[in-house]
Amino acid sequence: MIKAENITKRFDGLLAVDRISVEIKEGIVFGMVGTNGAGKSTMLRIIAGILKPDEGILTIDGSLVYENPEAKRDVFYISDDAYYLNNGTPVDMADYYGAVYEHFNRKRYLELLDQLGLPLSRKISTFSKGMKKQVSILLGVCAGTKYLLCDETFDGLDPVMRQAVKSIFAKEITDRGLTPILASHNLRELEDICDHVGLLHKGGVLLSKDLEEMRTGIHKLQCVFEDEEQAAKAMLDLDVVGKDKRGRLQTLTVRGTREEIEEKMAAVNPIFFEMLPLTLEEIFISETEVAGYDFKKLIL
Amino acid sequence: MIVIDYTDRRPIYEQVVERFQSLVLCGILEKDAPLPSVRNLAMELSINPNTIQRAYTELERRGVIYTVKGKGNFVADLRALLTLREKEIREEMWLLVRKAKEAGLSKERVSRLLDAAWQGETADAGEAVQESYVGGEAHD
Amino acid sequence: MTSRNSFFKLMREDLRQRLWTIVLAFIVFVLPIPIAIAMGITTAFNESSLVRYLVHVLQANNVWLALVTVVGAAICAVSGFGYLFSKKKVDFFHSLPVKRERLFMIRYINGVLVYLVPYLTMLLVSFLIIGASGSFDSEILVAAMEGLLVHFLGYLTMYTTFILSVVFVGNIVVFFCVSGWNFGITAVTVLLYSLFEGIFFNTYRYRGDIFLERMNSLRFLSPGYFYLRAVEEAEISMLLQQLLCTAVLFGLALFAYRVRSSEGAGKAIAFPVLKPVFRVSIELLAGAFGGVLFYMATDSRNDMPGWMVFGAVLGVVLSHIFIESVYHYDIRKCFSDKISLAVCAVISVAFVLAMRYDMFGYDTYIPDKGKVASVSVEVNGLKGYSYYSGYSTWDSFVIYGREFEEMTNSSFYLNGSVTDGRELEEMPPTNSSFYPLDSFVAYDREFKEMALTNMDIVYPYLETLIKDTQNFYHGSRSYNGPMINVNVTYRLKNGRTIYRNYRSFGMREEVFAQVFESLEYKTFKYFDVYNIPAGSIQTVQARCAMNECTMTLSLAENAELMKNLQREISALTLKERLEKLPVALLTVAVRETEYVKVSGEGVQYYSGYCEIPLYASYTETLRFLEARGFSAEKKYEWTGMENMYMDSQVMFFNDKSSDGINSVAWPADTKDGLLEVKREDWQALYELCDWRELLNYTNPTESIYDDYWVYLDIPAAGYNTYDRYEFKVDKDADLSFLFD
Repeated sequence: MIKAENITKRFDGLLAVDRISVEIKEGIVFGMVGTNGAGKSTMLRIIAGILKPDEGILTIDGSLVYENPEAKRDVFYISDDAYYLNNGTPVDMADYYGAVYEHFNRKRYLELLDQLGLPLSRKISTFSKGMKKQVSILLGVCAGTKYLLCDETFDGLDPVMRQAVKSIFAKEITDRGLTPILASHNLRELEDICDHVGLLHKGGVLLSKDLEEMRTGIHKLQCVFEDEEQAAKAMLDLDVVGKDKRGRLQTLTVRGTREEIEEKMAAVNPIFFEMLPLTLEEIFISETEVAGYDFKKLIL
Repeated sequence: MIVIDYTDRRPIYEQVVERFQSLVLCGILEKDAPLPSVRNLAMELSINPNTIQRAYTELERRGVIYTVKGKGNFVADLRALLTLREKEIREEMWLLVRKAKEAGLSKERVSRLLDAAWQGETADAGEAVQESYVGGEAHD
Repeated sequence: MTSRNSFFKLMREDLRQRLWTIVLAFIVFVLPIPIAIAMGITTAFNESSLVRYLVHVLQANNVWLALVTVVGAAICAVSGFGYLFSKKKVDFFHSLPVKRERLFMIRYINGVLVYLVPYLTMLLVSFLIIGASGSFDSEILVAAMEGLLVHFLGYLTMYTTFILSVVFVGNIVVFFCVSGWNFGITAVTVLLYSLFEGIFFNTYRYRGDIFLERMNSLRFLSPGYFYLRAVEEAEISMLLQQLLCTAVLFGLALFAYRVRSSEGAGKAIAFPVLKPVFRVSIELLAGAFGGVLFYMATDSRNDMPGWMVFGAVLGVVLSHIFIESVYHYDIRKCFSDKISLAVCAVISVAFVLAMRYDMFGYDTYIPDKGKVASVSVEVNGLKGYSYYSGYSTWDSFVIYGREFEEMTNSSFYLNGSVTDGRELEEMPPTNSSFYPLDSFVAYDREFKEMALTNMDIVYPYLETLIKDTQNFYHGSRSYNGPMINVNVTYRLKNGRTIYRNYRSFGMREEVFAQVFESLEYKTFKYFDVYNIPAGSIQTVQARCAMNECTMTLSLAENAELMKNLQREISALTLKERLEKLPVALLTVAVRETEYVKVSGEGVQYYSGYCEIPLYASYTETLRFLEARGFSAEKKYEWTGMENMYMDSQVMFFNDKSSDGINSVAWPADTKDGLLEVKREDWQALYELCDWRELLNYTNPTESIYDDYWVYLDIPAAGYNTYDRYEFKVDKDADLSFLFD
């Protein structure tokens, strides 16, 4: 488990990460969303042991990570703008990482390179942006670490490649319990792969929740009440997060499981009611509205 | 076998659950037929294996499938599922009837609509509804 | 996989990244030197010159090797640690599960190997070539090993310092600046301070080697100095100190590397705490320099310090603008940290004003009597002569069993005045010519050896000197007499040495006499007399005008002579020294093997003698010499001489006719510019003359250049040449009888 407690990091007095506390459990896919400058990369670099937090404690499976090879051995950081050794070929990179990561799986690396149609011994510097990215991802996947930190990894990959990479991740997750931590400015990109999403804003965590919990815990309700009295009664029972009224039709965003809400509504017995699932986006909008933020400005 | 519709508002795991359920109901997946492993399905769909796992867990909860430890997931006895399905349909029907009542449709009218729908004549039935609805208004 | 395994694996991978540096090292090392050696072997004239050539190529003092070492150290430091300048690379290397110490060691060792392996290969190839040609010599091996030691250690020092510079900064441009700072700040500070001393302080005493001397004492702050010195001359103690210095630098670099935060990449300075250190130090130097520049550009005698203050402020502001712009990569940020700018400006102005008005009391400083171990006092014009000659450089030498330090600059001083370094002319050493070393040993000795310990005797004189100097520069006292320059060296008990140059109104006999007449002073002033062992004396020659008598004495006689001389010189009064000319000169020639043993290269011939002026009060000595055939009387012996000439040129140059002081009508009919002196005038002219060599011992307050100089060219019997005798005729003498 990666555990961040009150992590704070400043760059020349600029607050990049502000008292972030978050827990990343093993075996899940953790998504970190936020706008540019929200502190995603900084957080990843702190987890990777590149940066030393100014305040707070960051532990990986209980041990501090900064300048601790024991802990860092379990982490691989795929940078958004990765460095490839001078004149390095994909094979050179494997040689280098092979010297550092004990469990580097060279065989699989070569297989995957072949599968993705990447040349083995051409200089990486001659590769296209997407190809470079693929090499980084393969290196990360094959390093055999428990945690894989991906900074905007799907950025710059075409949809086919994106699916391929996700498929590779899926295999590693089931085969050896890899825990990917994906940072992205694009929620939709993470939607289909993450179990848990942390929303970062201005260096802080606005929310960190299990996606499914979020999905089952909040619903959109369209309903028409007989009168105000009935409406007020329903509202009293329900945990209403947001509401919108057009004519007689009320659209409510309500916390609670589907069954709970249905039961309560049935008890009130309005003229009409219908439950609608929320998209992840809508969930985030309502969740952040609660915190007093306008999600659309944060992420879209 | 399974297709994810990314434009669907529903969560992926729900889609997976729905798809398997209908596959089983349609008889495409027969009793005791093995389901794809979590790993393979996740790789095939390029999605989080945990999502698949959650979908399988839900399917198991609903009695659509059963799990044999170390072997995988298999399609359960259909009867249980059918029972469950019937209950769902009953609930939906209840809602539908309520809606029909609200719309001021007569019981006969609804039965006729049901017959038409059953025979797959949706379009005609729709027209008929519209006619009768307009007609009804004229009566008033 | 063991961790040692991964260490070597990483080293190998790192080396692969730095392949180009190895190739470069082979190109600059392995090719030129064996080629030069092979070329030397094929073109050499003879065996010994070949060995000398090979030694020259392989020894420490090879400029090419030194250049390769310094530039190579910079390149290796950047190629190994330059990744710290790039965020991308830092993220790459610092995310690896490898401890920083380990990363550092891998890179450090590789950087050393990149230098050492080509060097050793080069040596091996060279030895093979030399061996194949059959001219291998142990001398070559020793020189090559010394060269290896000096350059390799030098490489470590430079390399480590460059690494420190890399770790301090976040981009390559600032790296060059900080390297300059690391290597040069001490030298620049010392240089500027020495410059200020000379400009602002009246009692500042210039010494040619002061810069090196100060650098030597501050060598631990200037790593480059060690290497320069080792290349010049390798000494084991210095090399050990250099090793210590390098070890400290290594520790510092490792520590800085460990605590350097990854976000330092791309910044100007990676450690915020160092920013003010670099900036303030440069600003203060620039301020002081600006102040002095404007002080010199405007009238330095002008008491208005306005321009100097302006210059100091300008220096601080300009350097501040420059440095802050570099720090922020933004010219608009050039006035960041205004408070520090103001403080630096104030300090700089205060400093230059304090220097200008000598607020530190430099000119009036006199150490506490109790803290002084010894003092040397060297009065301009009070000469003493010893002649030692040889050629080529002298590394160290021993006179009368006492060891002397290396001679100044290993160069030769020719006919220099003993009193003041400024009057010494430097001669380039050559291998073929013979240069007499005139008096410089005496010069060196008074600077370095004289050690007066009785402060009660010396201090009244020193205090007078300080007072006179202050009065001379700042006082209103009118004094038209000659000023005497006095160099004083204070050696303090704590090891410090203070050098001063004073000016006194005349000789200040009232306080100087007790110094001059003290035995301590005499033993240094007339060093030879008190130190030559009688057994070392070869011959003794006494001269006076045209009288000359050379004698070889027995050991007992020599001992008696020296004992008499010592006693009588001890009793010589300042009054006699200043007012009387010596009556004769005694030259003591010393057996060469006895007086000097020289270590160093190339000394093949030397001889030595000292010249002792004899005064009328040396009655015992004079009587001793008279008993052996020498007369100090100025005798008239013109045996065999037909003609006497005077050199009109000399008369001409010293003619004061234009001033109407003493107009001499020089006949127009002189032949070849020579005036033939009539036989009946010989005696009269000779009576007026003082023998030139005695004039080395006049009173320094009397200028001899106001007098006429007379050369008597006396044709040597039987030859077509002249013996030239140089005389002085007093400027007030009446020479009209010559032209009757």
